Amino acid sequence: MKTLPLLICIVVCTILCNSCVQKTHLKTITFSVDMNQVDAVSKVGIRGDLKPLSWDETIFMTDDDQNGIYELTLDFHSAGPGLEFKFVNGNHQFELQDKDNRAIPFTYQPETINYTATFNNLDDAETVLQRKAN
Amino acid sequence: MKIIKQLTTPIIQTSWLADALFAFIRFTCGMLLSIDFGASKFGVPWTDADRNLNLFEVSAWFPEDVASYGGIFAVAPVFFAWMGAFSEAVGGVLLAFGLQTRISSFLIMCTMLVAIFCQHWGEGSWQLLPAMGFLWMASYNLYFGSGRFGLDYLISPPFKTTQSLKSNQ
Repeated sequence: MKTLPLLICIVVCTILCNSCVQKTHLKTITFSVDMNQVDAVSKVGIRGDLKPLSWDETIFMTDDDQNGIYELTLDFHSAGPGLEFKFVNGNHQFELQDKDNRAIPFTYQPETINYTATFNNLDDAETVLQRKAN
Repeated sequence: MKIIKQLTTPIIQTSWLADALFAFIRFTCGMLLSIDFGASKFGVPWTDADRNLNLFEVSAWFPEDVASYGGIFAVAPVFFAWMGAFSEAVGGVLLAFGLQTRISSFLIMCTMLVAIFCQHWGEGSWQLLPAMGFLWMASYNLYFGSGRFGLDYLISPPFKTTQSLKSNQ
């Protein structure tokens, strides 16, 4: 019975030292969305299910070279199987109404991903996913 | 050791049918809790490989979730997350097979109370229902133990005494 408190202490200390938490990996994702076929373009951004993205607030993208393709690079710390998201126009107008979210599956390692797509178009031909393990 | 014996020894119902009914509910809920709820956030041999969880490892998102409850949970989120996930994944199996039923019931009750009041409170009755169901099930198992149909019964002193009396006849 004397060993029981000691055992409990060891278990508690081990847990408190974070060694029992799944390791996350850095995912650097560059999103590019072609808005050339959209009539009224303003406040283009992304919403999604993984921090720093959320479904409630838009993170805005920029078109620095004025070619109609908006870009954004974000870092995610994740151990999960992937990311679901949608592009947004006008701050709150979601693309792909009544359709599935866009998805990027993750591998369990640090990686750099380039995701290129056309707004409101989920066709494989219009969407390119490039990944590189870091 | 006396307290361990007391915790292990189940209360036996007059009719074995009542024990069987309790065992059926206990087994179903325990396995559901472990395989569905627990294994999705805790590394056990029956966790899906695509979860990328090592043995006894808790999912990375869960301590963050626990920390958001505030108070003492924000002070030691890893500890509470690990204990909650362990209670579901391992405690669920122990409960299903009736091994240390009262200890596993207690752990599950604590986890479900946190789930009800810190995680799902205010989300409506349907969201509360799974946690409340597990809480009710664990509460009477905390009192009765495993009954006749559990491993606790096989290792508890009353069963051993009965068996040795039979063998001496």
